[in-house]
Amino acid sequence: MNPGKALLRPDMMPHILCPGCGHGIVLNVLIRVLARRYASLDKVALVAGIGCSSRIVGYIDANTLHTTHGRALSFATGLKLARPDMTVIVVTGDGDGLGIGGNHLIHAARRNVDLTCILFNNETYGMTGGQLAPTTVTQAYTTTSPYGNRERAFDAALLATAAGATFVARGQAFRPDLLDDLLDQALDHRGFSFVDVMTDCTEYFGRKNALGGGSDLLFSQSRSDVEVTRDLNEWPQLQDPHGFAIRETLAMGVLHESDRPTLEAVMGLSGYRRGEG
Amino acid sequence: MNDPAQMSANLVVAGVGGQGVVLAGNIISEVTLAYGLDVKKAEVHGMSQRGGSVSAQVRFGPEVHGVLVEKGRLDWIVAFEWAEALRWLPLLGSHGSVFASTEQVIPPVSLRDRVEGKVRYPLEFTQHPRIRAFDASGLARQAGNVKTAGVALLGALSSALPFSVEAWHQAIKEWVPAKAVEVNLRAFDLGRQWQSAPPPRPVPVSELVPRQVWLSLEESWCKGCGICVNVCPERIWRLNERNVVEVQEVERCTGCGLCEKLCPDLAIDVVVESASAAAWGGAKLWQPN
Repeated sequence: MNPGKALLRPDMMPHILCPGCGHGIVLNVLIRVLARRYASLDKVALVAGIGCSSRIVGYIDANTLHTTHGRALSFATGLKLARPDMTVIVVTGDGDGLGIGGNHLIHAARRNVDLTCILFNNETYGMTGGQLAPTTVTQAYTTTSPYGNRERAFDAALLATAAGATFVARGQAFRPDLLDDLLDQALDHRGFSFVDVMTDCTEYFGRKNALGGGSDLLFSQSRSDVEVTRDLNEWPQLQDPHGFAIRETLAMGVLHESDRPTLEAVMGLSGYRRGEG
Repeated sequence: MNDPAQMSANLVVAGVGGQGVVLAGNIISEVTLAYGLDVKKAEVHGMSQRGGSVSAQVRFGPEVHGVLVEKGRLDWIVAFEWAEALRWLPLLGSHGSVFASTEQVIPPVSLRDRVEGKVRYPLEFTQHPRIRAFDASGLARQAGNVKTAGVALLGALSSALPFSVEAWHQAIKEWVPAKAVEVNLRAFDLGRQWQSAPPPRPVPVSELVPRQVWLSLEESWCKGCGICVNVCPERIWRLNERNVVEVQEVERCTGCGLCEKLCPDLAIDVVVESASAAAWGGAKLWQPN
């Protein structure tokens, strides 16, 4: 059983996520990790922006901040500097963290604030109706790219690494055990840790691209142990209706780790310690 | 045993109703009679309406007094259905062996799942070194008629007996219907040519750790995405007419926890009663409210 279920706010359940949404699996993993690491969530803050991913902090009975679109990392930075003794976890989505809040992401990484940022990457803006996101892969169909996306997608992990994040990892909803381990390591890390979690959007991305619903879309992540396989040619049942190979392969696991003074250490904040909560 | 006229043996033909057990017993008796041996034959076919257990005991030798085989004195079991052979194993002598068809005829009462036809059959039986199990039905189909499976088994048996092929052929011609003689002879020859592969070594089965698995489902949280239905290696989840999952055959759950970990709605709890579960403060099911 998942001991993390005791951390849920039962009056908020069941959650608003669509049937088969990978975000729910990440929530499942996240509460498991939290329950294992922290006896009490009094010193743990979950900060989120706007979007399907950001909704999930509302289901966890910790200190939670539901902030403005894209600005979760800014609020989190402020919170961490004011309360350096707290463990601050930012839950954001690809639209929230890379699109609207892209600038905040690179600067939080540059500053190396001691935060853990979990980015739910479902390759679309799910909550607002399935619009094109900066992570939407080339050729994919969304409500705002009815002829297929002509743009190149962000590699969020590469972006965070280049911006100066000191811990960068990528997991996927289909592999909860790997994700569990990556979240554990990210929370262990001192400095800005970034976890790009590949999830899915069954209602919009899956439907627009004829990738199947619920379990089909989730199982399309299952092709490789070391990589997020995003090449639809390897998954004949999930072919794009127009025959485009719309997915590419991304590396999975811990992708970058380095050591550099955190912003709190540089500022000499009192009460700052390794964030064990 | 090399002199067919002096040979004595006990064998039993076992099968289910409709497979031709009695006929096979008659054919064996006919062969031994052709060598001037004394034969006694006893059949149990009271339940022989199709599907019931049928057996024919055949004892032959220069002189045979009783019709029934004593415990531990059985030399051959010819089983037309592999589980039927199991019934006769207690009578099998220390040098006895078994010719068994891998055909399975499942009586309805032993079905664990009548919809999907799942059964729990003693699989390790075929790994016994003295059992020569083969696909007699397959050979029979090859010969041209699946009904000749029993004769194919007699063909396999004949390779262990000193009687001539001609004697067997003659007995078959006498007993099977005239229009089926050709196909039965073909099946007999195929069975006789069948060579038993070296018996597979029995795989040591480690002792099962007794453990108890509880599954708990918070129905009101389930959105019916079907991930657990597709991810479960034992296929114990299914979506019901309300588009909510439900468990079928919970006893097949191995406690792997895949459904719990991949449930986006956090509706499933898998509790494995073991030392590690106790470490989490007992195996109490968590209640949402």
